[in-house]
Amino acid sequence: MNLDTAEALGVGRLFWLTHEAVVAADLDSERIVLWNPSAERIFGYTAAEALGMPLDVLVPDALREAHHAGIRRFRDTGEARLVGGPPVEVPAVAKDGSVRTVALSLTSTGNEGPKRHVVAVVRDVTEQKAAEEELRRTNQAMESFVATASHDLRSPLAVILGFAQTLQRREREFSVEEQDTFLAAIVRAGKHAARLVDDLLTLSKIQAGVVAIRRQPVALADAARECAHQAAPDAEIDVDDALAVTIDRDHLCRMLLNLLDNAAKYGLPPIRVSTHVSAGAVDLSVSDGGVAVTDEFRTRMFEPFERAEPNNDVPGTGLGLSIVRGLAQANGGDVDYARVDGERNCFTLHLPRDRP
Amino acid sequence: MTRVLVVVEDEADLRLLVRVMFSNAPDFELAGEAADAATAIELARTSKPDLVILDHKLNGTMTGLEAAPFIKADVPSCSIILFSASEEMREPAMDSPAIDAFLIKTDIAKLVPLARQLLGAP
Repeated sequence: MNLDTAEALGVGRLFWLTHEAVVAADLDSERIVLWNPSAERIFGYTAAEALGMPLDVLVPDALREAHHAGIRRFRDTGEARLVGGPPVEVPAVAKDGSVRTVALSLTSTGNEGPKRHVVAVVRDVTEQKAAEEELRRTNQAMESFVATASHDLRSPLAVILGFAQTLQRREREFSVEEQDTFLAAIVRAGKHAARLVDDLLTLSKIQAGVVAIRRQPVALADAARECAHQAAPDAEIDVDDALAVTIDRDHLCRMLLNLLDNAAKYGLPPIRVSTHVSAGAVDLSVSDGGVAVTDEFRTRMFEPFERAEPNNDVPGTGLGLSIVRGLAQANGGDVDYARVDGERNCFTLHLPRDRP
Repeated sequence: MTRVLVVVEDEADLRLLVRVMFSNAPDFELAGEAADAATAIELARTSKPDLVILDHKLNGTMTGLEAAPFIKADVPSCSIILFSASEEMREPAMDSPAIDAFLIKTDIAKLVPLARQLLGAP
């Protein structure tokens, strides 16, 4: 009956071959009389289940009233709003209850006057729409990233340009002390801009998934001591000298430096580096005795350009933690934050453990 | 006649720079500096400046663009330059009736000439 109906409705053999669902309904009974293999694939109903089923089973609740009104109007008057027009994107309900986005084209048999059947050609565009939405989100994130990056670069550039031009113009004599102050500001701003450019480059490589990883056995105590020497000389290193993981050493040091630097800038002593070893992983923690991070900041602390408080008296690019997370994940691990013992901020790198 | 100036900027080095630039301009007198909007509004109320150089991104939650109408309400005669590192702020600044001019931070060399242009000859 299905094939006969297809022939009778002039849909022919393409009915079996096309990737698009071909569904026809009788306008009097509003029941499905034609259901091809692609309809089965898209909606999940077999032909045996679908034939004779009310057409509105495929229509979401919110659209059912409009659907019935449209069918009645078309059947009784032949007035078409969707039939014969360009495809429209509408939601449709599959057998498993999921809502698909479909591009729907409607045609009909016969010429003038009241109609007996409507034939729908349906293309599932759910994945395509999701991909478009993902692309839109990515573009938006990229635009906002570039806007923030250029904002953050303009401030140190303004300091460099402003002081350099002030010195160059010689509108008045500046004392040696004044000149030293200006030059120190230029150097600070230059270093900040250089750090920002480095961080941006690292982060863009992480986000593009093109970070080169050179894994090697790294003694954690050595690395921790080296990084603490640079960023937080008073930090306590409570790490077993024999403990090693296989990881990119530069990445490990960059993560430790960022965490120790944050602890020194925003936290309070004592700063401590410690480890917890389990079967599958080594947890390497950097903790400090500073005030707790707010719940609000916890939700965004690992995102680029997020700072707990935008206080420019404490220098920082707002990229440190996003780099830590990116490098941790690129090396097969992760990072998280917890308030431990009710009084310490603790950032923990979860590093995959060497297989013995 | 000197004109009274208030500088609102969250970065210490930029505050210093603006101070130095206007120290070479005897027609201006610096009344005070602020790094956040609340202090800026209070400072404007008490010092009645002729000109406020107002950064957009400030310490605290209120932005320069948001603070400008409060400053203007207290001192309607003052001119406000929104001085920002974001090119994206140019349009909102031009649309705000409280803001008289926009300057991107990398054009800082134009700050004193722009101030004189806004306030006219001393």
